[in-house]
Amino acid sequence: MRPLALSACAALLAACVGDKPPPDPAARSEEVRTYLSALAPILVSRTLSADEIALIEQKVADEGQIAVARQVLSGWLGEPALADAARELIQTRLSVSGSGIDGVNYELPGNLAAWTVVNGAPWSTLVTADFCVGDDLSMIECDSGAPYTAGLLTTRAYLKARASRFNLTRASTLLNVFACQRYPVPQEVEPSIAKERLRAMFQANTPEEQEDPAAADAFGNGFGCYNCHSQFAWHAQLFVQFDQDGLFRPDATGLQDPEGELGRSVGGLFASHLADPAEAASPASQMLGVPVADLGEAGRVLGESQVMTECMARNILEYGAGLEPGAKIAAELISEIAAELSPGQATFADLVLAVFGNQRVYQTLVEGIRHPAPPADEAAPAPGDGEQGSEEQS
Amino acid sequence: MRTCLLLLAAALAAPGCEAEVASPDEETPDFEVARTQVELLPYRVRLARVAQVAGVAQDDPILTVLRESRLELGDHDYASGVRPDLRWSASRMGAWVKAILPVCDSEAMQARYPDLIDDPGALIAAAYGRDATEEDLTAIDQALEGASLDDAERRRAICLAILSSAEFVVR
Repeated sequence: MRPLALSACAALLAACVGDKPPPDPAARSEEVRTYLSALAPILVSRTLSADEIALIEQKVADEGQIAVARQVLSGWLGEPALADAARELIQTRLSVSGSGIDGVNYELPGNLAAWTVVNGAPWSTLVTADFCVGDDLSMIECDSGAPYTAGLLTTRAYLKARASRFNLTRASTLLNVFACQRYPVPQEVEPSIAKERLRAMFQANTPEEQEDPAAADAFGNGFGCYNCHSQFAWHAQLFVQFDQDGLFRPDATGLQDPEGELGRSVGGLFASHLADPAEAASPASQMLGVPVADLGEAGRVLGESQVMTECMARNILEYGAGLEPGAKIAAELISEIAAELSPGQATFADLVLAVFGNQRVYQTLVEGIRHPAPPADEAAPAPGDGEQGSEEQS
Repeated sequence: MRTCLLLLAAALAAPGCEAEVASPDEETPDFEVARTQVELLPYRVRLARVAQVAGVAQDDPILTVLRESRLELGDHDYASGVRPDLRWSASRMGAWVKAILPVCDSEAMQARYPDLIDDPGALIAAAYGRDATEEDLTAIDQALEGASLDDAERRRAICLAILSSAEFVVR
């Protein structure tokens, strides 16, 4: 190796090991200001303060850009406006908000999100809380009447807004928003249910296999039914005891109404995917490969999972950085962020710091602000972005 | 750091370094910030920022029109079938100006920015989170040049210009 080349390599290596930033302190400070100025309105509803700008200018040269960015971010985590951001994130991801004329308070999911931030509770509380939160952010009893609770998943707001035949929209929204997955889900995430446990229409994977004329005429064409519904079945079953108004109904059978539309059970309930009547009536199912007794247990499994932790990191990155829901994000980046977080324990504040205090997020966002990419030809489908009451089909 | 490591890898692969390292692929960003049409900040953020600039609470009467126009200004209410709409359209600009007019005319703003006509710098700093530049001040002067306005009208025009500017309302 020639000495000159060696010195060049050494210089580069030193720069890499030390993560040497650009040499001009003013430019480095400006970069941090650009980054944080893009985030502050969304996360804390304001511009950078004079104190924050001074801190950036004073400390970046000595402590480095990401360290100073993290200091400023840390200062935001106790601000009341952060709860407003959390509320908005959940409302827009679920497409649920407002006060309906039907007597349902559609603010309950957003209230729980805000409460969780204000009280420093784990963000997984969204799907594990055994209480609901009123508009004044006080704890209240939930409104569905169910003997089990799963945070916002057992609010009438969620249940009614996402009601649909076979409970498909409730299931898919749950999976999209809290697991960042779409059907079919990788088997390692959610193993499929055995074919023979499903109603005949969901066992087909080709038109030739479709033996249920009702399905062939009105519902599925037979292509890939089993692929998706073998997993839909688990998550839809969790909602079998909730009627179309979001009310708990212990008398639910999960059986198809012989006089009704396909996928509907009697009395405003929805039909189960399962063939056995006893199984069809039961809320027992599976979440992420774990057997659960009901939606309450499913929420706890989900809340403790790495899948949800990574999904929440993704949601917060998308929301804060202004990315489309479902945008293409490097999986390694999400894993790197999630490695900093404790599944089930991470708060919204922890997530914000882990996401926006991440070096790669910093670099990519700064670069994106300076040189934005042209719009994608096709926008990625948005998790939970369907119209209220829309239905998934095979 | 990642970029840096790629540079290092490239350097090591170049003639002169002994290690044989494959040339790195063109770097793919971890995510892309798309260049789309101008997008407003969420309504809740705009409301909060106007309240901060005026130094009032968000339920202050000077913000009544702003609050009452929230859906017209792009806020969401899914129960009523209204999704967020963050387009900065001509009609929304008109609604926004109408909504912040009572703010600009308020005593709170007069008290907070008494020298607005001669020195808009304080309002610019509060609104933008940075010091006013020559460019900012020139733009205001040029916009008002030739206009026959009394002090109250001039004050209102400056306030509306700043609180309706892209830097204040756009993401």
